Amino acid sequence: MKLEMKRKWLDKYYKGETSHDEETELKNGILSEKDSSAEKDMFGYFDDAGKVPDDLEEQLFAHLEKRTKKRKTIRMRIYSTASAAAVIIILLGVYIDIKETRKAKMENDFFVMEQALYQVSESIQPEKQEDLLVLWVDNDVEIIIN
Amino acid sequence: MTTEEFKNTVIPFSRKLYPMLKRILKDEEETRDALQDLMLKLWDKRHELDKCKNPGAYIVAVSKNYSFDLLKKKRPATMDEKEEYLLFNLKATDVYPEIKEKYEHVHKAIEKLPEKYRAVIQFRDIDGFSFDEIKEMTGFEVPYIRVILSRARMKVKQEVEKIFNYEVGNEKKMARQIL
Repeated sequence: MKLEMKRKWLDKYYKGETSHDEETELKNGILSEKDSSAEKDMFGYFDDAGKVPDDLEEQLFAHLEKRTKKRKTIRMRIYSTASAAAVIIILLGVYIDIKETRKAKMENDFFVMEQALYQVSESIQPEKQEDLLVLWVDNDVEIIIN
Repeated sequence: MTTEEFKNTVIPFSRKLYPMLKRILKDEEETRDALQDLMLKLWDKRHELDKCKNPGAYIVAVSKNYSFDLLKKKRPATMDEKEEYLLFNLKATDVYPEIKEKYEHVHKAIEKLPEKYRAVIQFRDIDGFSFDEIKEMTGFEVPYIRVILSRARMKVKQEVEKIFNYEVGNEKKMARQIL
């Protein structure tokens, strides 16, 4: 790095006016110098303290993907369980309804049949006899008057 | 927002957030866990992120709140933990003890700064946040952030140079003694 440029950027740096790119270039330039200086120690420290593991981003993304997939699976499980429960409830409702309808129909049919049988039984009954007066009843003889 | 879009727009922020969270948690594993947790939080808020005009500012705001929560939960570090943090965090310097010592001086010079100065220099020079992001984190206006940053950098330089001169003085003193 040229001395003139270094002085200019260092001046800007200490005024807090350098951009990121300028700071990076200044830092690289000073760190590559052989002579030790306050700036070399400062930039060296900043570099060291700001070190990030190489695989950080990949690891974070892998973890995120894993968790989102897991969440999706859990959500899908909840949805499928809820859907299955809903289907069972609906089917049970339909079944109970059909059963009730069938029972009511059977009861109705039974009532109709009972009525019909009653009417038939009424129609085939012999005419009612008039009241008889029993005069005598014995083991062998029975005397009745109309 | 799809996972791929999230990967390209939100996950890269982790490079800036990692050092910041590590300063709070002082442990690599915990920092990774916290970042994973934070990324999941941001994933849950992806629909809000989609609507945002400035997603970067939104991510920074969520991260700021998250780090405040972490700070509340985290008990204050003892001196031993601070020393341990220094030892474990200056990894590149393990091989070179003299560099490690110099970095420790810089670290101590930053630690000595008033809180807002320290925060701004750490956000900018260690984490690499932009001025707008620092504005979101601190609530200060950009010109004021520049002023604070300028003073903080100058102060750190002065402190480091004091120690550096002291060391040179020591070397001279030792050389005189030998002679």
